[in-house]
Amino acid sequence: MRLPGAGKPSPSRISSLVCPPSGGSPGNSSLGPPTFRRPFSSAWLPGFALSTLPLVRLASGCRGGMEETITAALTAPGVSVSAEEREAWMERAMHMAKEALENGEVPVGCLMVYNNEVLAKGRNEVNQTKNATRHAEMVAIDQVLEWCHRCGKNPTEVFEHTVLYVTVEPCIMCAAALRLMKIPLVVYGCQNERFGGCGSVLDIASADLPNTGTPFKCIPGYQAEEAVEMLKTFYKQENPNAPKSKVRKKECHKC
Amino acid sequence: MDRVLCPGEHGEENGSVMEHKALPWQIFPVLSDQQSQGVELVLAYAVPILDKKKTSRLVKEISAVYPLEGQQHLRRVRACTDKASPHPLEMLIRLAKPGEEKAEGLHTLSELLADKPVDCGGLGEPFLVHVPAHPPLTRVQFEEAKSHWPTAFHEDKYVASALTGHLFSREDKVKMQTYMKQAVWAAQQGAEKGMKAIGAVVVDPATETVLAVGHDCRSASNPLLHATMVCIDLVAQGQGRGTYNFKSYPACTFSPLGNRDPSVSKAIRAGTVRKSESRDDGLPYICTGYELYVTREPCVMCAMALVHSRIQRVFYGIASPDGALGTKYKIHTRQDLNHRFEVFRGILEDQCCSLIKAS
Repeated sequence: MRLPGAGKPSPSRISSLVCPPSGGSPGNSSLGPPTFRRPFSSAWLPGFALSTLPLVRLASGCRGGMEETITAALTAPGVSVSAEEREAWMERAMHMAKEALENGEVPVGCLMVYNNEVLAKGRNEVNQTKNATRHAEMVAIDQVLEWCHRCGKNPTEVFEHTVLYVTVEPCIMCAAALRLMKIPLVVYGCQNERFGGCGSVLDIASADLPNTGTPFKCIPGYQAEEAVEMLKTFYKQENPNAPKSKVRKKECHKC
Repeated sequence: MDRVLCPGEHGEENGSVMEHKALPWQIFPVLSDQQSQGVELVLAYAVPILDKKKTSRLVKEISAVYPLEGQQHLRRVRACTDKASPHPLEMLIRLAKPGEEKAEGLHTLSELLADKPVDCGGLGEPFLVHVPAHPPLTRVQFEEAKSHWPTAFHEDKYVASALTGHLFSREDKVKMQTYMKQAVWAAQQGAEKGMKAIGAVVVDPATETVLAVGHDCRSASNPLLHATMVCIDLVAQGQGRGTYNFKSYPACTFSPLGNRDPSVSKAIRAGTVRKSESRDDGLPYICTGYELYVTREPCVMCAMALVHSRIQRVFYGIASPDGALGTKYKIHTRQDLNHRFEVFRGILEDQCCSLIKAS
């Protein structure tokens, strides 16, 4: 059954890590005004009284300075997440990608979600760090590791129950990294025809690599068209930091 | 295990010894599957040329009908291999289509050239023959290919000299050994800190500068800090950026490039890839033009990180079970990725091997 409005996290303040989609109460709308595409509905989960929802303040101890309330409700065992949740988190990731595009960055957004809590929000930092491996997923992995360190959690245990939501199929490098971290599930938007490591170029996600972590499952296709459009828009602008294409250089010689 | 000294410590001594000693290791290029695999064969129709004088006319007419596009490496006519044969020459007509491989389905000459503007006079009845499906890329492939049907062969001089071991001079190899010794040294330093004994070095071949020395730093707090990833970040730190802090690992070092006069490196080897791809600040894009020496074959993550970093060459000591530059994948040769690079295996193989045994 699909609950009307359920699975739509408040998309308002990107800097705040808002509540997960499957829990919460009308009170959560105070987290911010509903400004994103689909209106935030306060009519979700009508059967739950406010008092029955375990309101956990994980934030205070683990996120210095950032004020947010994490509502951990209806926690699914392991990483089994409902379709509504997946859609809602993907919408968050899409919003991040959109923001990246507006700021001239590669439009990839990703979230790492553990026990209905966003532990990391990665974005591409290649140009900023001059390190070509700083893809959104790698940045997010480091954020989760840092969170584990701060909260005294065992990274292995945390990653084994973490879901990655990302707008574009992870590349070969990131897919291998996700295997090494033993992340069990990746939900993504569009295919990555250039570098994809979950089937497009190579299938690292399910390959037989006994010394490279564990395989992971993929659920592709969430708002794929929109993710592709954003990438196309970005590549039309061209990355001023990338080396010039050889083809283009030749053309320049001619003219 | 032999204690390998850091070349910095006893560089001259090592260098002078090496000059007079045969290097106890060999270098092997890690080629693409297309280059290293056997010759794939497909079936084709051929016909005997009974009247030798009509050969050039027949070649012209049949080539116009069946141009063998995509099989430009195949010669149209071959001298008959069977000396006792009643005809001296044989000619290719076209590739066999699926289902035509059976003798009972064999077309006659008139069927093959029905409605075609070809005068079949002087031709015998067609037969099937195995021909190489792709152009041979290496001499070994060429030798095998031409035993089936004559083919053109445009030898890649570079790959050929790599395969015969003539790509690198003795001097080059002594340099390689020096760099790899530094990687082995880094691996040992890492191992002393409880890390996996894997080391890596990034070199700018244009200036013969060591830009980064690193070892494996993976731990529970960061399981992804493989030696290659460490070195990539150290290069970024040399360019004034980077991500990680390696202060607690003194063997992980970089040489700053930020203040360097960009004209220096450009002057040394004008026209290198690096020059044309260098950016406004005179620095190359990430690792463009650089070489990596690493004691073990990189994993998938590290191999793809090297693609993203635009590395030019990778030298490793020994293969890894899940290695991605030769063993499980050849990520450096893939045409569908946006960057390819050269890979060589076997540098200081024994010492790299003993690192693994020790750890």
